[in-house]
Amino acid sequence: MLIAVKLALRNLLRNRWRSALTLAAVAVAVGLMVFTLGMYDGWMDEMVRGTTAMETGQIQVHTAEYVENPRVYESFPGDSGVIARVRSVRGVLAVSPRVKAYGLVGNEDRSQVARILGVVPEAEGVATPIRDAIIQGRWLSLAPAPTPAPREVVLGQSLAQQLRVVPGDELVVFLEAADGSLGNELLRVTGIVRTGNTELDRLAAYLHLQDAQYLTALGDQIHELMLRTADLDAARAIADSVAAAIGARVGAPARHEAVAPATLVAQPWQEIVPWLHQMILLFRRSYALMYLLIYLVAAVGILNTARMSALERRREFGVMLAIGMRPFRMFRTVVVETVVLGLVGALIGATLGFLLSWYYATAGFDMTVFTDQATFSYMGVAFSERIYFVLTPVTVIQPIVVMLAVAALSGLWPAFRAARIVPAPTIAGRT
Amino acid sequence: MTPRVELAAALVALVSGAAVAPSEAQQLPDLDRVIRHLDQLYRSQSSHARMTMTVVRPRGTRVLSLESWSKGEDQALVVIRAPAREAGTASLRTADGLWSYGARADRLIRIPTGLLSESWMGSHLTNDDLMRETSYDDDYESVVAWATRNGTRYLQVTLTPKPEAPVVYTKLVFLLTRDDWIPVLWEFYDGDQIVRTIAYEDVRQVAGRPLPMRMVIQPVDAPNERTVIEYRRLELDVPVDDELFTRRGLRRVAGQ
Repeated sequence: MLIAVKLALRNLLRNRWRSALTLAAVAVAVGLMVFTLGMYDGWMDEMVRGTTAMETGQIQVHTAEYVENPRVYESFPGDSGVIARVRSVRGVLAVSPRVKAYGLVGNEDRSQVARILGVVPEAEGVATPIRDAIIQGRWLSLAPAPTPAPREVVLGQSLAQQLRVVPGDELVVFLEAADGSLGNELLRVTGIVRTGNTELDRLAAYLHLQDAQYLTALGDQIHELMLRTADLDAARAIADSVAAAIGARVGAPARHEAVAPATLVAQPWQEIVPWLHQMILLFRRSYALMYLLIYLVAAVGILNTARMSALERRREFGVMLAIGMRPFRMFRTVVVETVVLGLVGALIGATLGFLLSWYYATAGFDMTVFTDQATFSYMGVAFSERIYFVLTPVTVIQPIVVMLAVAALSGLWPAFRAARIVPAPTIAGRT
Repeated sequence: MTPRVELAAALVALVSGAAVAPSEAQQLPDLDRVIRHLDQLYRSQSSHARMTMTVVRPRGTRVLSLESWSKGEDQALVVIRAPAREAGTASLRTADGLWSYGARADRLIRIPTGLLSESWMGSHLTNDDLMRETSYDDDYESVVAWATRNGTRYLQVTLTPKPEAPVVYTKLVFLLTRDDWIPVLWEFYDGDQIVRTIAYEDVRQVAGRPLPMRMVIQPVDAPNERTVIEYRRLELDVPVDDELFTRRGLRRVAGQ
C-alpha cells in the first residue's frame, strides 16, 4: 500500500502544473466549506442566542399548569433554596426568577396592555443583556424604593412611545391579581429599553420582583425561572440535570398525560421556541446541498486530472498489465492517486479554512458587508451584526472526510477504464 | 359610540331606575312605545345605589360591595367598598370615555376602546356594558311580539343590529312582563347560539315603580360560573352633583 502511495505521488508530480491546479481547486473547495460551516454554525448560534437571550432564556421552569395555560395564579414558591439548587447545576450560568402578568399600564389620557415582568434586577441583569438594552434612563435599582414612593418601572421602547412617557413620568398599572382581586399601583418610569425583540419592546414593563408579587397578590411565589446556559446545544442535557436537582420533569406533559398541576416542568429552548429549532434542523440538513454545490466543481477537476493522466499513460499501463500486473492493482493505483490528491488538497484547504474561521471566531465577522441595514432583524428579533464563527471538530474534519470520499468516487471511472486496458493493441497504439 | 346593548345597560337601568309604563291592553303594543320604554329604562335623571356583586368562578367566589351613582345617560361612577384590598377602586364613565381609578395608585387610567369587551372588575360584565352608549333606535332593528315561555305570556322584543353597527352579538332578545314591561330575561346571541343570559329577579317597588332587585349574569358556556348583582339600597331621582363625575369628586367619594 505504501508503494501504491509512493507511486501515486510520483505520478502526480510528473505533471506538476496540472496537479497543482487540481490541488488548488480541492483546497479552495474544502477551505470554503470549513469557512461556510463555521459561519453558518455561528450564525445559527447567534439566531438562537438572539431569540432566547432577552426573554425566554435557554431553559425555563414553570408549573405544568402554567405551561398548558399561563394564568397569573399558576405560580410556585421561588425561594432561595430552589434558585440555589438550579444555579449549582453544571452548565447553568445564571438564574432569573420572574413574575409574569398582563396588565393595563397608562395614565388619564391613554393606556396600553403591558406584560408585567417582575424581576430581581441583579439576577435579570446577569441572565439577560437587559442592561445593554437601556436607551434612556437607567435599569431598576438593586432594591425597590421604600414605600410609599412610586414603584420603579422600566418600559420597552414602543410601549413608552405609545404611552408618550419618558423617564421620570408617572404611570398607573391595573391588573387582575392571582386571587381575582384588582391590583393597582403607582409607577415611575426609571428607564426605557430597546431589546431588539419586537414583542418585548411593545409589551414589556419590568418591575421589581417584590413589587410585582405585591401587585399580583402572589406572596413570595413566582411564575418562572429563566436560565442562561453557555452551551446552546447542551440545553437539553442541562435541563435534565436541572429537573433532577429540583424534582421537576423535563418537557411539557403530552395532552393525554396526567400530571399534577403543580409539577414543575423544565424546558430547553428547543421546546420553548420550536420554530427556531425546526428551522435549524432544516438548515443543517441543507448542508448536504452546499457540499454538493461546492464539491461538484472540485470533483469534476479531480475526475479530469485522473482521466487525463490515465489517458497519457495508456501505453505505460498496457506494458504494466502485459508484464503481469493484475487489473485490480491497476485500478487501485489510479484511485490512490486521486485520493492522495484529494487528501493533500483537503489538508491544505482545511488548514486555511481553519485559520480564517479561527480569526472570525475570535474577532467576529461583520455581517453588514452583506446588507445596507444597520441592524438585522428576523421573526421580530434583532441580531447582532457581528457574528462569531463556531469552530468544532465537525466543522473542520467533516469537509476533509467528505472530500476524500468525493476524490475516491471521482477516481473510480478513470481507474475502471485503466484496469480494462487490453495490453497488446494498446502498446501497439492500435486502439 | 359603543353600539352594543349589554348588561350594563341593565346595570345602568337598575342603578338609574326606570320609568315603567302603565299597564297595557292585551293587544300588541306599539313598537315605538316599547322601544322608547326600553331606552327610557336606562335613561333616568339620577340614582344612588348600594349593591353586592358576587362573582362565582371555579377557583372561588368573590363578593364585592359596591356603591354607585349615575346622572343622565352618560355619567356613572361605581366604587368598590369592600373587601379592604380593593376598597376605593372605582370605574368612572363620562361622555368622554371610561376610566379606572386605583386607590393605592390614587390615579385614573383610561380604559382603551380595545379593552371594552374585557371583563369589568373580574366579573362576567364587560367594560362595554358600562360604556353603553347605544340607542336601540339608532343601532338596532326591533320587532315586538307576544311570546309564551313555560306557559307565561311575555312581551318579547327582538333586536338585530343594523348592518353598519359594529356590535359583538348578532341578536338580543328581551322578555318583559306583558303588563308592566318589567325585564325578566335577556338573551344574547352569537349566531344561532345563546352565549349569555341575564335573569331579572326579586321585583320590588322602588320609588313607586316595580323593579327587579337582582340580576344574574350567566355565561352559557360556563354553567358553573355566574355574576350576581343584588341591590341592597336604591334611590332614584335623588340629587347627584355633577362634580362627582370628575377626578376630584371621584377621589373624594372613593376615599370615604
